[in-house]
Amino acid sequence: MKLIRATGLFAGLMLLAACVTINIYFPAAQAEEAAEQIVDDILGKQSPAKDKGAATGVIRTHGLAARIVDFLIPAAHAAQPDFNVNTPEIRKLQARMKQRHQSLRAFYESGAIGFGGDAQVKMRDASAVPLRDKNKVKGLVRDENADRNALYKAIAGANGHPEWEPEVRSTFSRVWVERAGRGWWYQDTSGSWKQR
Amino acid sequence: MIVETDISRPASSLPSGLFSLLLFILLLAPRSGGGVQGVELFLGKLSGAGWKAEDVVLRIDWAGDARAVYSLAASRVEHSLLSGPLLSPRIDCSEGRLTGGELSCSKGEMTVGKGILDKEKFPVAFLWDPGKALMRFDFDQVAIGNGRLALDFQIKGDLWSAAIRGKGVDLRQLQDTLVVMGVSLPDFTLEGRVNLTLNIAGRQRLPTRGDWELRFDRVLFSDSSGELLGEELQGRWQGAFDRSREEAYSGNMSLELDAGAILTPYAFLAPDGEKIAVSTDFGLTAQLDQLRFSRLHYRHGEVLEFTSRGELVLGASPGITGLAVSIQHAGLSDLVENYLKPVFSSPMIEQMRVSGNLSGELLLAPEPQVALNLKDVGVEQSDSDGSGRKVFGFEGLDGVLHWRENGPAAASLISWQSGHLFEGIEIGPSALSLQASGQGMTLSGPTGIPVLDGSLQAERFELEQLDSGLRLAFQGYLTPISMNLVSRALGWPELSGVLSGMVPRVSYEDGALQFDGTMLIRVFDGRILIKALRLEDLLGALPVLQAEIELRELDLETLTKTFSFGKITGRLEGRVGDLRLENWRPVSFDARFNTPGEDRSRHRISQRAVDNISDLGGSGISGAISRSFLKMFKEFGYSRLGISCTLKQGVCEMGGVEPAKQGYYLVKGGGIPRIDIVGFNRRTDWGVLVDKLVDISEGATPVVQ
Repeated sequence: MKLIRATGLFAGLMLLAACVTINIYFPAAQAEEAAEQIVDDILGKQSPAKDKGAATGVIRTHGLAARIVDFLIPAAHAAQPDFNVNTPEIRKLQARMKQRHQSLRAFYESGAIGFGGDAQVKMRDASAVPLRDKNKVKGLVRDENADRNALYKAIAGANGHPEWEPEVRSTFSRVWVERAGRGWWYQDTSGSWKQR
Repeated sequence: MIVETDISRPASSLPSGLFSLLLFILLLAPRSGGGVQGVELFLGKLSGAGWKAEDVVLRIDWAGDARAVYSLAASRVEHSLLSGPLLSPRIDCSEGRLTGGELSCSKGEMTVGKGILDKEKFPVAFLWDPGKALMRFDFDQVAIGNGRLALDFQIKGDLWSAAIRGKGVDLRQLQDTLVVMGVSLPDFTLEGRVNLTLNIAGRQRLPTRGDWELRFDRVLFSDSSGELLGEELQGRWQGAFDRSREEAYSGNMSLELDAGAILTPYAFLAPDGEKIAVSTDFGLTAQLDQLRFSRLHYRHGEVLEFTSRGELVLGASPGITGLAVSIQHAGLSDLVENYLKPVFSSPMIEQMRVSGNLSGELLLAPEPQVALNLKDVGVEQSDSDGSGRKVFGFEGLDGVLHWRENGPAAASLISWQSGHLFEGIEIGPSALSLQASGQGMTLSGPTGIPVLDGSLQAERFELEQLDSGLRLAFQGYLTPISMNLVSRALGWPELSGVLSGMVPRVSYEDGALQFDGTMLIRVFDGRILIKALRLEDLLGALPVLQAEIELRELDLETLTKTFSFGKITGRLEGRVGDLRLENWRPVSFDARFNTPGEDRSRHRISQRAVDNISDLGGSGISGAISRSFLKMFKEFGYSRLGISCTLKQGVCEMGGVEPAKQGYYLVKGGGIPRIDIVGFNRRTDWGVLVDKLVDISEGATPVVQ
């Protein structure tokens, strides 16, 4: 009888243990950093170089001291980032968006389009688009948003947490606005348009 | 005196009844002065063929003889030619005639209820002769849509005609007016002013002939979806139709667009200094279920000129039963830049430049068929990243393209004078004979395409669009191309040797080209074999190349000389597995290069090469003392050398020929003087490593103490 009770208790503990949920929180800081790098790349901005910069700086100068330091090739740091944004799919989406940005930039600048609150591009002032560009802008915005959605999903997926997509999106939403050029438009939390 | 009457007799007999009454009143009237000065007749409801008036009141003031001053009013008038009722119309006539046969007014004023016209009152002249069943209205100076409209309207028996002339009529207000009048219009936004002339005649409710001219200036339009838009349009639209033959309407019309622009989902049309003119005849069956045109002519200066004929079925299931287009000439540069680019949002098309001319025949229905002639066509595709780098191009394309949807088409022949792939891979003149029909295209026979100093020999080439995707079959080979040309074209250090290859099969799947077979590069006295080559998104934003590469029996002396690496003698073999380049830069591979096991050649390594290798391995030779001592020797002996790198996520996992204490041997010494180079760093930043290699190959002078 005692044995049975003990077994029952043990089973109960097992069950309890099985019920313990391990929460993995969204790594907000790392995600933000990753988003900044991606957005800077797409918008064609120079991202402040990290660890690598110092080393390459030395190598570029040719001289005795440099060569000696040069011997100490920096070993790679933190090879496995905490937040992975480095998959073929993400790189492909990023390259496509970077390419498309060449065409979109003029329309950000004219105020025709802006960054929406949902980390998408939105038409802000259709009248600012000349007739000959109207279809083009519509197509660009449609394609850009499709790629943006795919990007947020891919990033969440690459980190093994598809359910992080909303957090990834809101991180990007913030970063797009932060990195927007002067005079570009964005939607604030209430949905009204503001200018950087 | 007041006569009140309620006439409710059959409609057709009304006018004569009314006139009898009027006659009676006229008899009562004195010839001159005194007696009855005026009459007010409450005629109540009046109706005739196709019309009806309610609460009609006629008030007459005699001016003498048959001249009269009178007014005619009703609470509501309906006419079959009007789409809605006229509310509270009233005519005040100051110079009128009332005789036994007619009621007329040469100077009158009409008043209508609000909502239809800008002003409630406007001048009118009219004549009503019931005996001849004639009714005529001349409205002059009707203010409508902020402009002025003159309208002459005549009904005789069941025949009617109307002439309308308008000046400066505001389209938006006109549209509102028509909507108020109950005319159903397509959901279009219209703005701007027009001058118009419209003559139309008919029998009963059917128009039998007409002509119109509409001159417009700064007109804007858009449909509800915003797919069809026009801006700042200036031009003229005119036409005429006839129902002379009982069974059909026929006629012609022409449209000239002098300025402005129209955006459609398929093309952007803007005269841009050269007017766009379209004219056509048309014919419509009596049942209004079929429309045909046989001489549509479109001309836009030197940009595009074509004629067309076609047949359309209207009604419940509309469709095109016949459509043929004959292109007299199309200037491809303007056509692509101005007509097509605005409707595409592809960054690639944005960076495409096309020149030359096109002409030919397009039969779109019933059986699609194409015959197009190309004349001196040029295509230049630049990279869409804004760098302006060239991706590919062809100059002097000539030929004829034949295609049929069903059954075999005549052979297509395309030739070109020159071409290039990327910046520097030149493609020589050649001609292709192709067979195109349905969803596929086949190369008619073996063809050689000169590439640099060699050529790509295509034995077989088939392309087919299936429901499951694109199917491609290729078989061919590459005759030797000098590597010095290839290396120069790609901006590499100059290499000697040749490139050749056998391509037994190319397949296309999921957007990627998969090459079976082996490309062979004879270089550095050895061979480099490229296998399992796969190209993805070749012209897209992120081209991906995947391959397996094998290096066999390379002569290190030639290789190190080429890349200014210092001097190493001996042989080298190696393998780069799972190579993946994105945008032509390596993102991952598993590579190792080493001295072949059975290599019996002389193994020497120069001081400079030692230095460079040490650099790469992240290690030095054994300290400063050894270095100062070793400085005496220009070169050293070695038994084996090798390096491996597995690249992943920007980090190179490095290794050498064999493990050493704390690291790995990059060079294992042998002979005299002997030298060992040991690498310590197992993990190296790939970017830094590449920078170093670039520095080395560019000849940065190493300093050895």
